[in-house]
Order: sequence, then C-alpha cells, then structure tokens
Amino acid sequence: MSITISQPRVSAAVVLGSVALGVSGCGAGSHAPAGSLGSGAPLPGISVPGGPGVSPQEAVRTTYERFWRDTWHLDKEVAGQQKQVVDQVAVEPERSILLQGAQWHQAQGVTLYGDPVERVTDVTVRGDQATVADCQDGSKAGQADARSGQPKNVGVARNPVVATLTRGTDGVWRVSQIRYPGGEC
Amino acid sequence: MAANGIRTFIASGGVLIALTLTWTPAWADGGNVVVSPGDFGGQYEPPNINMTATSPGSTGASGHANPGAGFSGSQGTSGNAGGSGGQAAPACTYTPTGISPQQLETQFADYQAGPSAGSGSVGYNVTCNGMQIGWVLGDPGGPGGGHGPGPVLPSPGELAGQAYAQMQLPLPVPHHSPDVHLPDGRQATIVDEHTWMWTDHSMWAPRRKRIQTGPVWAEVTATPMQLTVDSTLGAAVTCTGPGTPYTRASGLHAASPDCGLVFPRSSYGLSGDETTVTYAVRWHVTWIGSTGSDSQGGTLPDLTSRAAENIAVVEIQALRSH
Repeated sequence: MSITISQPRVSAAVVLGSVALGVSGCGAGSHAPAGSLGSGAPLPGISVPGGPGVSPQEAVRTTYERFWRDTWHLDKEVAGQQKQVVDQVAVEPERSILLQGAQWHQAQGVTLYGDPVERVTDVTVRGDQATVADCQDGSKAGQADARSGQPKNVGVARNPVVATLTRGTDGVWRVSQIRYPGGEC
Repeated sequence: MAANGIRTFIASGGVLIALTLTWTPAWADGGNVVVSPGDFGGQYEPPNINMTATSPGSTGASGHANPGAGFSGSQGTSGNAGGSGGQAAPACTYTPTGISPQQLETQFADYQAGPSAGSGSVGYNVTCNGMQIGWVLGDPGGPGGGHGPGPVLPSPGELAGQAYAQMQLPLPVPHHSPDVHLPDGRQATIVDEHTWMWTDHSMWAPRRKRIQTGPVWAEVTATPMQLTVDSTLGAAVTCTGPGTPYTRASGLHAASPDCGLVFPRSSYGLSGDETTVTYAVRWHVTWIGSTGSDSQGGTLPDLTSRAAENIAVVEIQALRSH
C-alpha cells in the first residue's frame, strides 16, 4: 500500500488578489499591527499614502484617528471651513451627515465639548475598503449648550464604533460611514 | 474636586488593594446630564427613531402635554438615543426649531427623526434624554396647544385599530336540551324533538377595550348581536340573543321561544355517529375617541367568536332499547 501526500500549491497572485488584512491592537496610540504582514511592508500593487514605510493598516488607523480629531469640533468652524475640513477625512455618505450635523447643531445652539478617545481594536483592509473597530471612550465628551457651555449629555467609557473607510483615486483613505452597533466592548 | 468620588476596596486582608477614582465632572452636580450610548455627539449617524406609538403601560410611546415647557413624551427607539435594544424608551421633548419645513427637508434631510404628521407645518427639535437628535414635522400649537407634534401622538382611529386588534372576546359555551347521556358516555338529543340551544348568558355582554396616549384616546366596544347554531346535519338557526335555557317549567316537547332546532334525522352514519354543532356569536363593533379636543368615532368590522360540540342525534326508540 502506498500513500501519496500532495503539497498544497499557493498562488501568490491569488493571495494578492484577495488581500484581507486583520490587525489587532488595544488602546489609543497602539500603532503596532500584529498582522502577519508586519508594519512597514506594503504589498505590491497597494498604494499607501505617507510613503513606502506605512502599511495600509497604519494609514487607515491614522486617518481614522485624524477623522475624530478634526470633526468633533466641526460646529465651531464657519460653514465654508467645515467643508474643507470634512473633505480631507470623509466621503459620502458620512460627509453629508457630518456637515448637516454640524450645521444643525449651530442652528439649534448646540456644541460638542471634550474629545472622544479612540481605542482601535481591529483594522481590516480589503482592497480599497477598510473597516475599523473602535471601543471609544466618550466619558468626557458630549453635547453642550452653545451659549452657556452647560453639558447636555456625556458618552460612555466603552462605546463600540465601527467605521468604514474608502481609499480614493488619490490614494488617500477617508471615512465613508460611522456606525454605532450598540452593546458593550 | 468636590464632585470627584474615591472608592477604595481592600480584599484578602490587604493583599489586594484596588483604588478606583471615579471622575465626575462638576457640571454633573445639577443632575441634568445624561449618559448617552451610541452617537452621543449626534452628528455621525442619522437618527433612527421608531415613531410608532402605542398605549401607556406597554412597550412604546406615551406622551402628555407639558404646559409652558413644550411637549414631552416617550417613544420606542433604536440607534442614536437608544444604543442597544431592549432599553426603556427615552423621554423626549419637542421644541419648535424656528426653521421652515422646506429648509429642514433640504438642508437637514439626514436629521429627520421621524415621519411627518398632521399638517407638517411646524418643525420640532427632538431632544431625547437630554440629547438633541434631529427634527420632526407636526401640527402647530405644541406648547400649551394641547396637540404637540403629530408624530408622537397617534390619531384616535389608530388607537381604535390597536384596541380592536387587542380585543379578546369570550367564546360561546354550548348548551342544549334534551341533553341525554348515552350508555357509552356521549351526549345526545332526539330526532324530531324540539332541541333548545343556548350559550352561557354570562358571556352575552358588551366588551370594551380602551387605549389612551396622552390626551388622545379610543374605546372600542363589541356588542353581541346574534347567536348562530349550525349543525352538520343541515339544521341551523340564527337567534337574536343567547338563547333560553330549558327548565322543566316549560313542559315537555315545548319549543324554545327564541333559539331552537329540530333535527329531522339521526346522526347515525356520520363520523362517530355524531353531528358537530357550531355556536357562533357575532359581535357588532363600534368605537369612540378623542384627540383631546375633538370627538371621533365609527364602526369597525364585525367579529365572531365560535365554539363547537359533538352530539349524537338518536331515535327515541334507540334510547328505549338501552
């Protein structure tokens, strides 16, 4: 009796054609991707903003964190400036939601105080689409009355957020959707 | 730091000491700041509010006029204000936006927090649990006007529809006479004999169901109108009341004054040598209600409650033979 063992053949083209990179991390400021590709090793054919030393995961994560930093206080910008800020970090449909939300707050005398703190727990990149899982700390931020500064509400310390990012033709990642799935993280 | 709380836990004889600093902002002293899961900033995810209103005391909405302070109520929710499912409905307040409906629909379309209702001529800012979530359109006259924005309050007709759907009517309780018990335990009546048919009179009374949401209410009334008794032997009768219970004072062989049958043949040969007799009570349904200022009412489709029994119809000779 003879036994034949066949070695699996792995096609590099197939691997690159269906690239899906999962990165796990914990805590704001954790930028060391734990994925098998490692940091600083962009795949051939994937355009990475920020130079050849930046992985897609890092680019996505950086964009996501900048998104929050730039948009949380959007209502404090004048309308023309709001669009400039948002166009840097968001695309539709999130872009319109953000702009309308900031202008709606201005019209109704609401402003946002504090700053949410990101805790990115997962970054998945599939071609020109990416998903970020965040366990955001909103416990020192929320809505406030624009005139008095009196807070109206405050977020929770562990607030699940799922963001979808899209890479544009300019090679830059931008947020296309923010979802709050509920539950705990 | 007067508002900061410090809690110290000592466990296992001091082996483990956990010091927890609970940061409580000074502005929370007034107790008006609520903790919001989800989109607590209210500008990253469109509002997703279920505006379906139901009766107070059950899942869904309740509302009440809040003179001088706008309109307030509660409603089922998901998304922005509610976070995960299964939470209590938030308390929401509605204040005029000062922005025209046309401008709201064009400039702030993503922040519509519910369907338009009524005339839709006034835009209301919706704040749930202290957090501003978006706008809705409704009728004018919210604060002090007794109406509030339309999306919160259902119409009396809608409440009547809910009450109609929730109404539970009693089933008829069949009785007949003669009611002969055969040696094998079956119930029977007799061929060509006047058989009195009736249902328990206790079920023959109007039934009402009332639902109220804030000032809006509706009450549905179902009134029993007729009892129809139908047999698979072909005999049938429609009675305008529950039927008259037979008493010996009525004498032998007397016909029921209002609800009787005569079975022309025996049930021998039918399934189980019995006939199925169906008792159906038809209920006429009406409703009345109010918006809080205007009375409304009407009729709804009739309802029917049914019960059935199997009885044998036997020749009198058959009884004598036993």
